[in-house]
Amino acid sequence: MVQIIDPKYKVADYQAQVMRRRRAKSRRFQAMGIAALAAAGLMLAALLSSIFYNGVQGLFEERMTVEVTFDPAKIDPKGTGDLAVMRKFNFDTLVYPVLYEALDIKVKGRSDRDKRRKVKQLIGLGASNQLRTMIVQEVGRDPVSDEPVLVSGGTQLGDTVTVELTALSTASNPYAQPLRDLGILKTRFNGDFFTGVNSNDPGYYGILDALVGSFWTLLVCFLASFPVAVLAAVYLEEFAPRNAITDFIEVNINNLAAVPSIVFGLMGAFVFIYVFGMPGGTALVGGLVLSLLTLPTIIVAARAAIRSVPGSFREAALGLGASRQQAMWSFVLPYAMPGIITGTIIGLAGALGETAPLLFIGMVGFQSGVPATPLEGTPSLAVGIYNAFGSQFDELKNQLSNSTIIVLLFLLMLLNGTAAYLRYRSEKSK
Amino acid sequence: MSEIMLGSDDEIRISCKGVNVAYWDNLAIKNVSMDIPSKQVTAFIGPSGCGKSTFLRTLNRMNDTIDGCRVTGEIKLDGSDIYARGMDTVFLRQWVGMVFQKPNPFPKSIYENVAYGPRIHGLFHTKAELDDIVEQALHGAGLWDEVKDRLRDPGTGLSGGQQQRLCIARAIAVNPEVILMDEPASALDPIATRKIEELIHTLAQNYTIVIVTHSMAQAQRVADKTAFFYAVPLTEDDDSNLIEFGDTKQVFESPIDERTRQYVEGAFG
Repeated sequence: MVQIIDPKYKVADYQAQVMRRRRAKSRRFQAMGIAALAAAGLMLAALLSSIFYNGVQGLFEERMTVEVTFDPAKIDPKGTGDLAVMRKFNFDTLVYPVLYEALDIKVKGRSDRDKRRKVKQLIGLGASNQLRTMIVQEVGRDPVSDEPVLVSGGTQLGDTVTVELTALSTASNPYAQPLRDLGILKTRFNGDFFTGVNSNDPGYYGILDALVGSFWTLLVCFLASFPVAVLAAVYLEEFAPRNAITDFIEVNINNLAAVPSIVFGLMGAFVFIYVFGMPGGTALVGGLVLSLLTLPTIIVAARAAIRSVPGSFREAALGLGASRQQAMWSFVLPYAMPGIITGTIIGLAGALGETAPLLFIGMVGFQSGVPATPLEGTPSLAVGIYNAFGSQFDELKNQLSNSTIIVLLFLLMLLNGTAAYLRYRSEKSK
Repeated sequence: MSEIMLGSDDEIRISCKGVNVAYWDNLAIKNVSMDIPSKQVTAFIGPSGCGKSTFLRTLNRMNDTIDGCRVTGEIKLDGSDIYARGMDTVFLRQWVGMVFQKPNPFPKSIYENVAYGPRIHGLFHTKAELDDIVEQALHGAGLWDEVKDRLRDPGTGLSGGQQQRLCIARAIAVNPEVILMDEPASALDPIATRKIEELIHTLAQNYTIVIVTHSMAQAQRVADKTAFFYAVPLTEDDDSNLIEFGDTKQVFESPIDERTRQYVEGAFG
């Protein structure tokens, strides 16, 4: 090997040592960076795999296909033919014997009591209601007596009908597997999840109301915050004098961004609902509250975008005799728009995930139905995650909660992807 | 300086008397008095920081947009004081157009770049009239033949020299009397520079042109009159930073002031 540095020079040794140490230092630093990235990646992977493992299961559901006989001796034992009597019947009891028979469980007696209890747990909460509506339906209330007006559901007593019912807790129930083997329990795509609304029966639970509610909320939020934020940013950047007042405003815009969202919820509940009398729990109030959260985000992004517009456009326009407003509308704002839109989308994405302030103003999803306007009570998607889970742990509810998270994450990725695309395109065109 | 020599046949377009420009407390221009002749090219030369660009920008009040800038003295365009109360900068800048150091076309089509000025000033009634204005302006800037087939292409897609001529077309489209040029060729290559200089010659037949330049050769090539500015420190003893103003030939060949002589000979600057 060629000796590059004559070893008789001690300074060369010293230099080599310094170089070695410097290289080691930079290697150590790189290793730390990679370790940090790996740790972050691992955490993200753990989170996402848990969500997807549960969530994908929630997108499929097991349904129970049984042949039910509407036995008149059980439903209307006295043969009155009165719909009000039939309505009081617990229709779940029609399903029990079918399952007992299939599973070879004695219908009566002490020995199989525990088995019967387990089997009963498999039947979804909405099954009874589903069967009842086949026999009797409520179509309104009598204006005089206030009694429910009942009509026949179309199925006659004594008929035998094959029905598909929701099933509960199929993962942990010991009788689920035998029923699957018998073809009574079948897995299918959970279409109700996308077409149904908030429900206590996880078998019927759906997010359509939450999706539409989120759409209305974001629309209101956008309409309320975007014009205000852009005008504020334009004024602060282009027209406002630099003085103590504008400095104070600037500091407070940043403060606004740091306020915990739940504070806005409390404020919104008081100001919008109590003082202004707006309908609580609606997308209108939700959107207005969220607009307070997105406002500072959009203002900060819009100001940065406006500041990045080359001064030469402004100068050229002014040199031609344009007023400052004309220069702003013709050149500054169009040029800054991709940046402003990007900031707006990021702000709206943040609003889409907000939960606490919406719970405060009553967007809890007790209303059943898809909101046709922003003036109807509705949950939002983020609230839907909470709703799906409900008040006590249930594996199906947990899965549905995670499914809702998947939908929310998908929408967030869509929004952020749009923002990234716009940023990329505007940078390419500059 | 009192020795401001204009021939008796020179018609005066802009007349300046005792002009001072200050940024907050810093005096940038002190006591400048000069008459800028009509339909000629007047060059401002001088070392960096002597205030020649600042003075140029006072002539169409572009300094108004800068915080803390204060102009005193009197600047008259065709006899009317441009700093008078009630003078609308919109109209002033229609009369006194400007071309900047770096070509700065708008991020719009070539056509829209030229059409912008006529649009904001309402100089046309029909689309055909606007088309005509745009074509005339592009002809005037010697750019028509190069861009007539691609008027809808973005102005920023042109070469540097073409962009600068587009900016000149944009300035003349509003039919100004005076065109201010702040080192219009300093960002261009020699061939593009030559084209701009030829264009300045042609434009001088119809417009009064004031040009700031760093290149003494350029001043000699294009200017009828040359003003030499000299920089700060401005003390009580320096009565003005306009040192000398006269015919270009005289300023370069037989300067009166010692500092002018040193500068044009390249002793400093």
